[in-house]
Amino acid sequence: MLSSPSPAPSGRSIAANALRKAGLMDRDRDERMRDASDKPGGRKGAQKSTQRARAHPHRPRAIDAITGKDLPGASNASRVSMLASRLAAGDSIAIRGASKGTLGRLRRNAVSGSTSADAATESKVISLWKEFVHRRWNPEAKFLNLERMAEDDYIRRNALVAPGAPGSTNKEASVIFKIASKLTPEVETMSLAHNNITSASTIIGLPRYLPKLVNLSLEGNKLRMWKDLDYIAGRRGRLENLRELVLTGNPIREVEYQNNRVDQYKSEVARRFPSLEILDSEAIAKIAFDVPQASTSTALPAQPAATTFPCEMGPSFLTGVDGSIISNFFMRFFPLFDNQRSALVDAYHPDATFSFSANTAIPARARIEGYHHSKEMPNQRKLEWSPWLLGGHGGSRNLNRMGGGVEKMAKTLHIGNQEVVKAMSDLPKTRHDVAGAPEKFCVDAFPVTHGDSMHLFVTVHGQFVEEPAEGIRSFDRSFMLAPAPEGSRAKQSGWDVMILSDELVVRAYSSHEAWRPGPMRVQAGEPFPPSASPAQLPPANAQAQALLQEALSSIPEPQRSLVMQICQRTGLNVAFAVQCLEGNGWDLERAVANFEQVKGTLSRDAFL
Amino acid sequence: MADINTVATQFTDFYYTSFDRDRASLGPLYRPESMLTFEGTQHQGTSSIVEKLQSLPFQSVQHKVTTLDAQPSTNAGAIIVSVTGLLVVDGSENPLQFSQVFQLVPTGGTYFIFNDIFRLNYGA
Repeated sequence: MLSSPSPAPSGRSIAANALRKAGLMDRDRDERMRDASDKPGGRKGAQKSTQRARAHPHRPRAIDAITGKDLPGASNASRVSMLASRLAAGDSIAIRGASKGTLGRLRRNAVSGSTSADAATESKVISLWKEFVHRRWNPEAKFLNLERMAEDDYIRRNALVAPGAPGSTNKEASVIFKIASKLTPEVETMSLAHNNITSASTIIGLPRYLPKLVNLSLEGNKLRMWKDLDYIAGRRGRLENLRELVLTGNPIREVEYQNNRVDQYKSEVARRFPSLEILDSEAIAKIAFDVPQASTSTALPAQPAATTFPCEMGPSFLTGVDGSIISNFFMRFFPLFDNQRSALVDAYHPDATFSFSANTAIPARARIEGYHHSKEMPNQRKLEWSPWLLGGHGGSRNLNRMGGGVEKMAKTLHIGNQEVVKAMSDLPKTRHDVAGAPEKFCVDAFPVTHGDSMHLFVTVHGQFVEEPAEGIRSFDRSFMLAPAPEGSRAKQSGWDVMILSDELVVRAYSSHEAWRPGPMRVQAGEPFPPSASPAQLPPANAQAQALLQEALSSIPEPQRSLVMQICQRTGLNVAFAVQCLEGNGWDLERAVANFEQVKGTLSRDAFL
Repeated sequence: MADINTVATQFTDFYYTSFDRDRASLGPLYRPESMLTFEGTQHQGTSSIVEKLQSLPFQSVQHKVTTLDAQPSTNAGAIIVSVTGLLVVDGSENPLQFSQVFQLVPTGGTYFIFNDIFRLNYGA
């Protein structure tokens, strides 16, 4: 479009030249068009393409050689194609500043700048493209198949210039993508295979009109250089969801393969499309589970013990301990930490220790995602590190940075519940949404034996809103908890446990995607808390639920719980969930990670 | 008993250097009663833990510690060490963010890892 420099000759210039030649356009009008293109959005690209168009004023157009048989005459046919180009040019003039312009608007604008005869032909061209898109559209599969467009009879018969065909520019493709952007359901998969595309500049409209595309094939085109691909590289709001890409048969891939630079090739592509999972039908990371093999191994793991309980505050059991301890603790601790830190004095053991450190590094990806500077998260800019680095009566305790400052080390470790609360009260005010958004927290917790007594070692990762900036931070926090003895202040204040130590790391926000939620789970071999299981299964009809329950019932504990978690998290059916787990040593997280990598290759019957 | 900050610093230096050079060499730091939870999976005992560490799907790895904190634990002489940092896997230019917590327990003039809790916090 106008705002992007395009090495391809401008359709507008060609159209204008051709129109002038054909006597259909006077000089004034040409100037008017150029004026439009020189406005802010035009920049260098338009100028350059004008020059280029001048250098090849008589660039041959394939369309000139084609006679449209159902149209009144050959001259009309070429006018149609020229108008198609101009129409697209009109599109960028008319739609500038309104990127989501509707087709109706496009047509109106096209009409307003043309004679009524031209307008009629223009809308006819749009109708032709519309008809073409609908012919190629498979709504069930959400698949728009735009393969081999130039060879399509319909295109030839109607003398349309296919994207990638000689004489085409990025305008034809943009018209198609714009039409495609109105399809329902939304286009998920698109193939542009075998269209002689030499540069993604031809399809530069794709990210703009179809920013949420999931699968894209560019197979059998002529992309040669990385810069050819850069025109559609993913960035914020554009092709961020692209999961699968096919570049097979393009020099950009084949040359790298011939030169044994496969890894470099993959990483170059992955760099451009961070969301990509499958490239050329291969998972980008190379861990695989044997997908459709019949299960032969029935060997069960000795004890696939899970100790994660992502913080769904449901009832659960810890061996020998009341399992709701952790959830009760968090549900009480964090609200007090947020609103009334001084009231926590009784939750800490008289000899408790507390320290905090600030990790000020912003993860590279978080930066790219706009978690720290973007319109969507304006408050992130307002966050400051100084209260965490210097506040809390001693500041951040990062032994990695202290270089032997003994005094500082002593000052940053707060010993005794009074000191702990005093230090905390000097830290920025926070809001932890443990009740409202449990998926944003991740907990590791288990009992540890200390001599005769048993303690709970709890690590929680999550996020909070920091006041007054209202920006978001991530944190990691480790607690050592002990049952509150009868008669202790903690017990008297209603705490089942008291805090022996509390170690907090505050980090730049990095989203919670590293831990997806699962049901609370403490030890293998125990059934799920009833409240957590059926409600969380993917919504399905009762029959499917019954089938699932039946399939599950044939699987012995403790495997059943793992299988169920996989079903819940991936949507795989039981048989495939079992295979996935077997292929990954009954390691839940590995299995899920593996699934994420290969899910695009699984057939529909793998799913519930 | 050396001061906990020194122990924590020396420990993490040693642990991550050894991890990055040869994961098998970490065996002596664990005991049969040690427990590792790695991304929510539990591994108990030296051999199981070392096996898990060695099975991690990367060839080369480099830990870069960003923050390190340590507190005395309730167990006599034990130390809780909390680390956040970067994990550079197979030379990737995009490091992963990790968080790891250890409980170190003294034994015969040295320490062993009683608990080891590892989580990736953010992908590259």
